[in-house]
Amino acid sequence: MTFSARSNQPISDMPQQVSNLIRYRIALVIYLACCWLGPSASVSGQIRFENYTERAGIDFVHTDGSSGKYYLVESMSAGVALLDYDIDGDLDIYFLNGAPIDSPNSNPATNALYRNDGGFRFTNVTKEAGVDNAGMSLGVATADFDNDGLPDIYVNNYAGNCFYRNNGDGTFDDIAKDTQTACSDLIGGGVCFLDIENDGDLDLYVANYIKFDLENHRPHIHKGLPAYPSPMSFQPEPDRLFRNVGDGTFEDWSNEAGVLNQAGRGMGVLAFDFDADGDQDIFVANDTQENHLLVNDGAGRFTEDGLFAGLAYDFRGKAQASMGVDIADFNGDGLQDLVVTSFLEEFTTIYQNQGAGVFEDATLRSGTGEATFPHVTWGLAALDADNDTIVDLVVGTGDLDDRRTSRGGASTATGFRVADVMLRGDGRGRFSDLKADWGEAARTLQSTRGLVAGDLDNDGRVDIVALGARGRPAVLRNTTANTNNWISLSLVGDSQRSAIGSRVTAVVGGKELTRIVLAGRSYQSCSSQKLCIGVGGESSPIDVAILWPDGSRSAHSIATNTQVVVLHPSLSPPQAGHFDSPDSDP
Amino acid sequence: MEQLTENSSSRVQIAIIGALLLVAVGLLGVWLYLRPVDTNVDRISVLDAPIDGFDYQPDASAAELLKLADVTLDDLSSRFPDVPQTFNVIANRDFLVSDTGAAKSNWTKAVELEPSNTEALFGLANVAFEDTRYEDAIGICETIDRLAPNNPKVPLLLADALLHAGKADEAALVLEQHLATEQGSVQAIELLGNAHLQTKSYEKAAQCFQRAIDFAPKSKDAHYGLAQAFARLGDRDNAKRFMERFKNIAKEIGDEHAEEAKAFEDRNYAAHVAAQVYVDSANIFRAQGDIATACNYILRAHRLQPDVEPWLTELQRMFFSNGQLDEAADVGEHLVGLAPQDLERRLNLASLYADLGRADDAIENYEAAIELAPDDPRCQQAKQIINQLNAS
Repeated sequence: MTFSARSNQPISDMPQQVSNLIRYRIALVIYLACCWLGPSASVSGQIRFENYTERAGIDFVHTDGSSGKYYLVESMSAGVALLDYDIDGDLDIYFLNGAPIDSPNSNPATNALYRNDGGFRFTNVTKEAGVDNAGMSLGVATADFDNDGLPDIYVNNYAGNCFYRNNGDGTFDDIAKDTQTACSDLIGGGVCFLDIENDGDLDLYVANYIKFDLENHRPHIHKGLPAYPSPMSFQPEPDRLFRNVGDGTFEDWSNEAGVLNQAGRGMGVLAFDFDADGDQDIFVANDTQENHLLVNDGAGRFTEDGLFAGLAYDFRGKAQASMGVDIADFNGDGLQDLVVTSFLEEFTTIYQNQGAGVFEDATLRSGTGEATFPHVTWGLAALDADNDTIVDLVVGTGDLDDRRTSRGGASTATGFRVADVMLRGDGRGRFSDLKADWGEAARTLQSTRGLVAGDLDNDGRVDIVALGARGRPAVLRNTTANTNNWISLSLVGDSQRSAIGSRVTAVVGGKELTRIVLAGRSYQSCSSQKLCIGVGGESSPIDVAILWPDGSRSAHSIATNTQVVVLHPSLSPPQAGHFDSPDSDP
Repeated sequence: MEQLTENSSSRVQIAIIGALLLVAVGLLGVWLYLRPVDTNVDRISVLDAPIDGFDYQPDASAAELLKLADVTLDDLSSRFPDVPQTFNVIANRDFLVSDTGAAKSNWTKAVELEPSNTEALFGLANVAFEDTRYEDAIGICETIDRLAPNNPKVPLLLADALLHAGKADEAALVLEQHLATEQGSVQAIELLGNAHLQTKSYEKAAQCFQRAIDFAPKSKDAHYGLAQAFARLGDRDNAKRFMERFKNIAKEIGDEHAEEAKAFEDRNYAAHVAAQVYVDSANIFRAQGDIATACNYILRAHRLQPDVEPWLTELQRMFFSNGQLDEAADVGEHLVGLAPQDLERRLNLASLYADLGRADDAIENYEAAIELAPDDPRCQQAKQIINQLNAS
């Protein structure tokens, strides 16, 4: 089922972009040939995830660089990304790592890229790929910023970011300084790619956290023991927005965009058309202050409107310590809802989309509160874990206070290393906590920060990768056994090759299942841009409609249990069998 | 004759000595009469004097302050091991330091000793709520309500638990009943507004939040709720208006929190915990008839948290009932200093001075009270007392 072909060299003397397009087409043929002939009866079985970290060959160990001085930034730790950097059809993993911020050159640990070899086996290719940044890395996003068909990587760091351009031969070059996107004097958070003015070039939104002066640092004393200071002790730092000029360079567009007017302690970020007006808006999950919703006027100028949209605070008007963010249609009304993780004794909050850019905190009705309230919650992923067409939710947990027990314990049953939470959706906006009943994953204790979901073994079941602060990650293989079917799509855009912002809607039994292509989500992380859609017991071809970022529409009929690469209408000739021709009537 | 003369001379001497003694006694009486005024000028107030058995250093760390609480609780446990209130005091401390597991255990012991101990049950309801066991919290609140129907704290917790359990309709009913008797409860009105938001009754929600703002013009929650209700009703202008107000209030509060966060050490919180333990313990000693220890403990609490006034009022009351009028006056002076416009405090202090024979001080405070509220019936009485004091 997985690809074994691995070619990092151009397959001809043709220009790189064309050769990559051909690679996609080859991949398409292979995908189509790889139809999985599973049974078609519909069953919602028990959700099961097994810890495959060791078996997958993942030996990454995260360090936050802590030395007992309790620098706040240590507690943030880092995100993780899934990308197919070598365009071989399977997802590779890029882990971020930390470093001592007061002695950066002493750090032997680096970020790490693990190549997917198929069969749920991975190889560390960090050194040869040249993505071994040894700084304090915090956030990451991947997308094809230069439209050469290859995913690039942007890493948001403590004082000095990296922008790894994919050379197409398995190596990357850091172009942060050349593109003036290094933000050398800022403390980063989340990051996402988006096309702010729909010109076909991916722009870059870089969240920042706090204004911090190493010299003036003093540890907080909590119950007689040193502790991390409150984020509220520090002034928030405005984020930055870099506009892609289109020639491989960027310009700092923060001021023109209105971003500099909004200082926030930014963590997770996510770009989506929140007000359904055809352009990409930006949600920023801010720590210990109101969240920001930057509403785009279509020309890349933004107005902060989180309060009116109902996304700034929780249902009582309380600012949460927001961490991670994701979107999905939780209640089956066709609208993308928002979910935001937060601190201990705060809820993972569900903001239900009411339409027209207005959201309502539906947490109390959702059942997400009771399971998440005891924990600090970080990365998360909205995913259909058992392919029953209903979106579930996995929430990464882990205290940031490693001495809470010494201080007399937490007010809730949590700890620095705890099991993540799996919430099974009911399709009507309610969730039930699976507690210990989702396999070995429920017994995997770590302090999760970044968390992403993607189909690592191309079996149609979405797997999970969770970065654990100060320790090993958890690579959780989805072993849910049922007869549900699925489809998987990778989109190739026209001018914007990553097709970020595309809306894919599959119709299953009259029900619309919508997914959005994102480049930046969860806690400072970036999940797979390959979309997996569970279609339950449906075995006949699935009607899929795609709204592309440039407004183009296409319609397709996709056989179940297949993975397809879907090309933008301008790139794709009519496909018989598995691909329909683009819809000529948008 | 000579003997008579000697006897007469002796009698005269005795008479002179007697007269001198009488004069001396009279002078002593005069001096004693005047003495309280002069002496009180030099007296150290009981609030500033060393406290028996209290080894407190003003620069004590948070850990040392919490240790003081531990020692007190150990003492309490050894003296009153079977008193349910002892476990309540320990549980309160546990809850304050976020150890809800221990709090739950101690409140449970209190309930085992006294099943109708509503304070312990209320604590257990709070723990259940904090643990997100909303159904448990609801059940315990209903039990308390049966045992002590008029406890005003219970409907609020019950409604909040119902709201968090997704039973917004039931929460609204509880709150409406509560508000029938507690019309000015801003917390209840805001909760009711939230219940209406949850049931999408946006008009009703708006009315509630508006009412809450009438009572509490600076309520952040009410402004937020009202802005949300207007937004859902499509009234963008009003939504924006109240969001702006909400933002300003939130900013003020946020700034305060930021200042607190800059303090970098939670010593103040530890002081609060230790002081609360002293006050709770004092209540037990008082109930057991040991007023001296109760007063000692409240003095300790005051030393840790000088600005908490309700404790001082209680301390003044205990000194008075224990016949320690000087000490009661000391506390009264401090209370008047904290709120010079408080009529009640002025009258209390004046009365204490009168009892102590400090007529001038009593008159001064009665007159100050009369200036504050000339038409108050108690001030009419004060005028009569002033006349009596002047006459005597």
